[in-house]
Amino acid sequence: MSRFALTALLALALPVAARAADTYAIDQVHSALIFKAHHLGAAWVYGMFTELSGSIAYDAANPAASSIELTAKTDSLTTHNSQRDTHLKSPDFFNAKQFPKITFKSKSVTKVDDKTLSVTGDLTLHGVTKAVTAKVTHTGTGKDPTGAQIIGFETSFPVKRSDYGITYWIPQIDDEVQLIISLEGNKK
Amino acid sequence: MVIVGLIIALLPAVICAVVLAAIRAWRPGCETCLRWAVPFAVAAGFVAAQTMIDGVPRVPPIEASGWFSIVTMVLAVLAIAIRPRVSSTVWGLVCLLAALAIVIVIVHPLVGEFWSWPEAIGWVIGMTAVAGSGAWLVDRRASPGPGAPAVLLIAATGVAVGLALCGSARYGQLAGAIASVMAPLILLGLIRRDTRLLDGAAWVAYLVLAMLVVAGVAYVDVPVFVGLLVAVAPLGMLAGDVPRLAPLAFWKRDSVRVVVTIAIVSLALAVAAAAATSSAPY
Repeated sequence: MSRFALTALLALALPVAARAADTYAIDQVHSALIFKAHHLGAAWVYGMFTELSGSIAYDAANPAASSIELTAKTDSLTTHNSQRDTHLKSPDFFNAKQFPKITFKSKSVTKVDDKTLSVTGDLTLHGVTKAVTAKVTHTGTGKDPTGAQIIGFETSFPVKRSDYGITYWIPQIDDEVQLIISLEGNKK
Repeated sequence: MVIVGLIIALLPAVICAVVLAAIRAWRPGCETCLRWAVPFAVAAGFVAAQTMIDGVPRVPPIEASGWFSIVTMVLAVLAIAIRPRVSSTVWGLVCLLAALAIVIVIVHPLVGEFWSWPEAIGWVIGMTAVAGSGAWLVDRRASPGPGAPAVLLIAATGVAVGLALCGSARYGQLAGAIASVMAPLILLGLIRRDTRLLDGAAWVAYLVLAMLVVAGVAYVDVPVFVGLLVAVAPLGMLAGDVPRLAPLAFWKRDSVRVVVTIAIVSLALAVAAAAATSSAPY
């Protein structure tokens, strides 16, 4: 290949590299995967998974280049009641031993407006993978005490637990459970 | 909620009673019918209860408990179609192989994630040895009359309460299905005191309970000691076979069987209650 052609190729590639999405590691201390379930037709009961990991790739100029991968350890579930936590981790519900991870992996991201993205991806829960689409809000950017760039996103969407094979105590505990995901990422 | 729970609890008993009524099991000369009808009733009662609790089973199953009904149906087919045609030695081998298959089907998802291969092999050998030898003994020694179903009812109740105490109400309900299915058989045993009502069926019921105990130890953190006790509890039926008790009336020997089983189950449940995180409602 001639030197001219190589130079031209590099010149074409550079803007693409410059537009590559920034990648962020999910900061589990400032992130949360929360669920709320309707109990006996009365109140919403909240729980959360405390051990999260994964990464976010975000390109504000080209949202289609953005992506997210999130993993939650099922055993990190807490509802602030140890007996209920044991029951929720048991095979009656999440079966944390057989299904130790809950994962989400995006497949496509589209821009809705300046603050909102529509993210479609695969949610794997209780050994079942299903496509979900959620409106994700870009909640802001900032700098941590070390000066590193951080970014935040939040979303909330319903899932039918029966779709994922978690059928025990329906309708006493409603089939539809609301997931609330709030993520903070540290720029890599 | 209460009504649905009651239906789930009573359905296996109703199914068993209907099957027994259909073959007119109280009449003399129905032993051949009992050999297929009772294993069928045990399996049908359990599968019906699980379908009510979990919905129609998915094939292939998503989780270990999805195999419960499938395994139960296979056990019933073996008890009905194979058991009468093979020698006791071959049947002993079938007991071991069935126990091995059950243990592998239930615990294999944990291998690599929670158990290393050496740990898994140790668990599989231990659980297979207990379940296989227990199934063989229960099958050989299931006594005539109401004693054997009474022992299995108590043992199944113990498994149900133990599993619920340790964290899985669902597994507990499933064990309760075996207790439920035994109730009509106790009544029939009072009429047919000299007939072995559980030919083949004791084997099915024992292995279903063993399967639930294996799943409980693997997935619900049932203490191994509790699992071992409830797994051996059905062997309480052997207590009535002590030669010194032979001259006694059937009800006295059956009382010994029941008392021994209750003692084993009580010990298991005391340990399970002590190990439970809390009994406070939530």
